[in-house]
Amino acid sequence: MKQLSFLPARLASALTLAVLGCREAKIDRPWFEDITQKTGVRFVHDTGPKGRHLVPEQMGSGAALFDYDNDGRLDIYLVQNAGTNINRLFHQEPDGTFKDVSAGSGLDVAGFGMGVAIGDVTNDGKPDVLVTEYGGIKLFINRGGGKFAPASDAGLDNPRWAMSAAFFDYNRDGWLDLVVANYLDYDPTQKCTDARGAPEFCGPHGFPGLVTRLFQNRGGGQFEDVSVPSGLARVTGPALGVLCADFDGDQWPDIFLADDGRPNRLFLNRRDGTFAEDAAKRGLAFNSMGQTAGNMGIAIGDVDANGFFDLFVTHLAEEQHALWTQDPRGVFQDAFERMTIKQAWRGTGFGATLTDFDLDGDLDLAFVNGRVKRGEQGGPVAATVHAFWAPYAQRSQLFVNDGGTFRDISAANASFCAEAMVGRGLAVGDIDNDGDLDLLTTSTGGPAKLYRNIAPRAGHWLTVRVTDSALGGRDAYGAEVAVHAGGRRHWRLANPGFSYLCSNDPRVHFGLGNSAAFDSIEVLWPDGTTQRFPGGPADRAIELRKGAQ
Amino acid sequence: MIKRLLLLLLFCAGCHKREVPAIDTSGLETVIVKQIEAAVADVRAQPRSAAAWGKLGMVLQAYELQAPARVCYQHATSLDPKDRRWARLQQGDLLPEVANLRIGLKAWSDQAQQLLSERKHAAAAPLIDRLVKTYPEAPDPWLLLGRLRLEQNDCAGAEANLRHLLQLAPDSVNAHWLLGSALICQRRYREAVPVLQSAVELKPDFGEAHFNLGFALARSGNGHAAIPSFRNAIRYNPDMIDPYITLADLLAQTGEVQQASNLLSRALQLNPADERAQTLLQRLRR
Repeated sequence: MKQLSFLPARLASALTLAVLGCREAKIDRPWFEDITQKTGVRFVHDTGPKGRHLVPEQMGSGAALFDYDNDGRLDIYLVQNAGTNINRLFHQEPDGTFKDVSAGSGLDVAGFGMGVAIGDVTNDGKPDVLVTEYGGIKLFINRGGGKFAPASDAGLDNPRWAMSAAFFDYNRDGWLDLVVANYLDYDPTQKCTDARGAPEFCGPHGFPGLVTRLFQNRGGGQFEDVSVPSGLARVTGPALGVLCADFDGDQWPDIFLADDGRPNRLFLNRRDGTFAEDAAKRGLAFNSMGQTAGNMGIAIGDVDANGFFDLFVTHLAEEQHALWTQDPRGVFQDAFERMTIKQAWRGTGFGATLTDFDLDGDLDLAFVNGRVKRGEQGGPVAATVHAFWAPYAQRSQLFVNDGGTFRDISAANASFCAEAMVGRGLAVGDIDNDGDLDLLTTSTGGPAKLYRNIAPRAGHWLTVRVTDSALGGRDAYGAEVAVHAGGRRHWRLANPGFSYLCSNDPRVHFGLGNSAAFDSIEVLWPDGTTQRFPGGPADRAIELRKGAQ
Repeated sequence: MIKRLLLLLLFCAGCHKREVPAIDTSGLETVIVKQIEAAVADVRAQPRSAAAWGKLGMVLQAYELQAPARVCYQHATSLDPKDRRWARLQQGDLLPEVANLRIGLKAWSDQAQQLLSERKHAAAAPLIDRLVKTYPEAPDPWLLLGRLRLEQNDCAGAEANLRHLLQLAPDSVNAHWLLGSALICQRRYREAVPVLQSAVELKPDFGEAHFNLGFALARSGNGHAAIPSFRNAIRYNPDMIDPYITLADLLAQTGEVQQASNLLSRALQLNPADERAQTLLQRLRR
């Protein structure tokens, strides 16, 4: 060791830093446990005959976490894609296992399924189900008792390639309206190859984008297509993701569309039934380099705790994901570099969520990956992934928010991140009602997976369900909920329609850090009224009813 | 002495032998293989040139040869750590320089299509000509040539190219659609009808083809049969303004004034400045 005394100063200091760095490095514990098998969720996504390289085969499908029978436990709906296999409904039993109750539910339908949106369109307190497909959409009305009826005469005609969809009340009439993100005017006869001439899935650039459709709920679940009069038909695009939220601060919900390989669209609600596209001016059309990119899944959350929500949008491996931070209100900037999302490696991201997994009060980040073109093997491939899809498989990624820096903790999370799949859907919700959020993932040609949150708890929590008795007790989609605790204001949007092709837990969840109690809760209801609720102890789930105290 | 050793250690990353990685060129077009070979030759001629290694990396990345490309970027980075491009490329960024290096059937076809969509016909013409001559058996060049001729109003020329394309690719939706358009352009409406019917059979949600079919039917004296085609065009592509106007015109002629007015109102919601819709609506209101 004598030689060390001869080290040049720069090298010595570098070594010291390295040693200190090692000493300071946190030991990350796993955050998730794979409970798919033990809970009985048995589902493998089927894309039909292999080798046709039809683009709709590789884009989905999604999933929903929702409590269809109002027993207080989240159930699961999983969408199939082959046209022959049926979608599956799983009911969560009191012991936390899931029972396949598809047969006879009415949701046991086959189709070229893509996404799913959940919303109570009849205001009867029972969540209804919308399935998007390549070539259409299907609405199922929840009749109670685990039975759903197809609403084929509901006025929902969308004969195109529908991807993500969302329910929201754009005209504040108390009825949930529907926006459907349509993707490409795809031509199945158009064939594509890789550089060696082997058949490969086509990219989006050879096909025109489509009109995103807006359906106004005229009451009782009867819809009218208002895509043209609302102004949505004036700007088309290849939309994959959709998010309805108030982007300009006027308390009316707007529509953000993640467009694949084209500028994103932001339709601002003009409060008269029409919308104006304004993405470029608001900073959301292009990435930080001013380029268009392959925008896919969307996550929403106030990552920098400045009181305004931000957007994380997943992209292709050869691009950068985007983190559009909002400041001032209504203006966004891609801050991916500034927020230093330190990725150990880059994949092609789809479903995503900004969620406080460890309850420390900061939003963490998770997303699933899966290629759209064949590539190098991205880790050991899950056993149930069909061999055809193995070259498209990639691992999922998980990041902890370390005070403004997102640190990749995938290596410590083998359950969630080690096995490669063709990741597409990611839904988040408190499946076991233990106060932290769990994950459900879907993959093309592979299994759906359920992950229980086992992250070491770094704080307290609160789960809030916001409902409106005047609207049949349904969830108040679009309500903004702010919890004041420990001198901080924690903001969430009650809206299950985010990520990619998925519907998430409609309840809002807060990690409160050291605050064992909260001071108050402020709710901005979808009709623009605000209400303040008194404080109380944390670590519980509460329901806030509009107008009640 | 020790200092020298340490300096050597510090710079060891820059002194190891840089070798061209194994490159699997099987299945690649000859022009692409030649491009790769030229880049390899440059590296061998200038083994200490970061630019040469970086260029080879970019050429390889352009054809999705990621693993050897990464090795080349590594060498480029070690030779010129100040150039941040190499590190970005090594991470997997697809810079525009990489895309610009792409050559061959697919790359040139994409370029030609881009030029056509920008209506840069003069720039597209020589590229498409080269494509047709180099790849006479491939369908894409003929489709591009047919589209170019059609957009240049050489409708007979377009027809010949598209008929040749249909021999190469009988189920090409775009070939049927463009051939139908070429026939309409020559006022051969009756001949266009079965061609466009084939297009919508192959792709039932093809709004533009439904519109062209409706137009061909209407112009061949079968206005009644054209109505469902125009309705389909609107159903599949509610953003297209022409079907609203043509359908309104047809309905107005059959006395369906209210329906026609509604359609024209929709057209004006899409484009308030559309003079055809304004004129027709004024006429209906008189």
